[in-house]
Amino acid sequence: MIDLENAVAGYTSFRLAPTTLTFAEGRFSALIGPNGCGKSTLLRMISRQLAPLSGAVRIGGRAAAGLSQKDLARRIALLPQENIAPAGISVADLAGYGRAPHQSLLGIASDTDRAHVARALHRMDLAHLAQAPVASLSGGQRQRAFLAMLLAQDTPAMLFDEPTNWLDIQHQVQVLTLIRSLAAEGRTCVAVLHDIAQAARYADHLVVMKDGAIVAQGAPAEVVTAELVAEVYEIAVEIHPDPVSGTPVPYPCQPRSGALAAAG
Amino acid sequence: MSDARRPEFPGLRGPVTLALLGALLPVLMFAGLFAGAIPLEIETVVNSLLGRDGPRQDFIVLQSRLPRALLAALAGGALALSGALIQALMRNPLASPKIVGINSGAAFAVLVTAFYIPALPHSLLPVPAALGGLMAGALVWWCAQRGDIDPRQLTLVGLAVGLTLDAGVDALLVANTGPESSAPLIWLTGSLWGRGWTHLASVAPVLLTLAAAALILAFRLDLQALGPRRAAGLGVRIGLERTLALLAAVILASVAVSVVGVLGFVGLMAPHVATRLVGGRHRIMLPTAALFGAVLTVGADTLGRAIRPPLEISAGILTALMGAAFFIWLLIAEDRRILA
Repeated sequence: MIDLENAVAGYTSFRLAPTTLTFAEGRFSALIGPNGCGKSTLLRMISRQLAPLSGAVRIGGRAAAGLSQKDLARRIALLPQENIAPAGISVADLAGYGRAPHQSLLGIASDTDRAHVARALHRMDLAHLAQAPVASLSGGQRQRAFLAMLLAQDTPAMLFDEPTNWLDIQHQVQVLTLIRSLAAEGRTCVAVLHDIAQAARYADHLVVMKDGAIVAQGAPAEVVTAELVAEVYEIAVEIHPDPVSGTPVPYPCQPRSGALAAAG
Repeated sequence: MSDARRPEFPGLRGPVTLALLGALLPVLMFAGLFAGAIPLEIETVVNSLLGRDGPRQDFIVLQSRLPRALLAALAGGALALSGALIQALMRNPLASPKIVGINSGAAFAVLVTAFYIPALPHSLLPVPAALGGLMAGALVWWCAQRGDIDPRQLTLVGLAVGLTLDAGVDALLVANTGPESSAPLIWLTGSLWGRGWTHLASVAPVLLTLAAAALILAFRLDLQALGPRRAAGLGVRIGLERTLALLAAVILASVAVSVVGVLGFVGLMAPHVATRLVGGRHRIMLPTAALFGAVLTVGADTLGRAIRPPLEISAGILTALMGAAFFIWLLIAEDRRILA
């Protein structure tokens, strides 16, 4: 579980509104909102990459500020947006780095560590590429390799910053299904997502942000309304249920060749 | 993407490469005992080494060429390790102790000491060298902190600091022309001329200790090479560990510079060659780079004495020639990899 209490994230030049929020365990929560609304900043504060300017962040009931770096890394893991790998390391090496918080400074892998890495690679469909250099992988394979590192880290809370970026549709579905199953294992999963329909379809809980503040949260069916989308994204939409899952999907009202009649 | 473009790193490649380099180094060092102003017979060298009866040249073999070979190996290894640490920390394949200004800082400090505190014994020169290197490193770091510069851009700041210090070195040489400035000039080109056991004794403890620490903590460098944010996410206390690794890199390079001069390109080349040979895991890459740096420096020193005796060509001139060719090849190879 992740608790925020009047937590203010930001920098000297840009700060978010005080946020009080709970991400429950066993749930997949999605953060949505337009570009620059502060989703990534919020995620960085939760993972302690950014200290809160005021207020408190608690992870599993313990104040994040009081945890050692290693204890923190055993409780929470973040998949950042960029995934640049150093030269000359294999997929198995990369996944193995996820075990660092469970090892001594020397980084000697135990049988448990090796089992975690093998399971993570298998789960990300990378077992056959275990010895391939990360630099030789395609963008999608590389993203999965970094996800394998996250799985190997095996933390009760997991954060994902736009995990479906740059992925083909089958891998987008694979990643979103993975996050659902991680939540089903009892972990606290929070993902920044761009696609409202995707967020509504896969997440249990939506948190909608605009201009650095949370404007709505709750179950997707309650949150995703034409009014909310108009307010947050400044575009007129109709909401129709997804024919497969029944979850809400926004469709822009403006026809393809129509004039640029902005709503809102 | 075809599987042919996926070279793998089989488990044996690292140990085999290490063993080959480890065998090559003593062979080269032994070969170095023959080369120089006075060419020696194998019998003479072996007799001197083993203290046997017969024709011997104890002074040349034991007091001049042997410590020199050991020193070349040690300094070359230290520069290579320093380069590997810096490339991991800055995540920039073109970074090296020379390019980020550490070598120039050490050289500047050594020259100031040599010209203005001539009473200081030579065995203490590693101290001002380390201080000069640290000064250059701190200056680079301070500029980077002020501008909130990405570690990858530190190279440019380092280049500026290095060029400024090089100008300082030139100014010192111009201001101190005379018979006393010829030794510093030879040293500046990266030469082991006139080095002996006292020099070795003055730098070996520091360099060996730091090298051992770097090898033991190699795994932490793996994590740092992922970038500061990812490393922190994996439990690395990034401020502390980065500072310690940077300190080690600065001291390794500047102490090496204090005895062998500005031996460029070893710190740039060795980590690259090592990564290509054995992969990027520092546990195997660091010892490979150190051995390769040692082999390169011992080889350059031996070659420099063998080309036209009794003339000596500085090892630094030969490594710079090799390095320039390597640098161009590296740029083309990187370019091709990006375009492919």
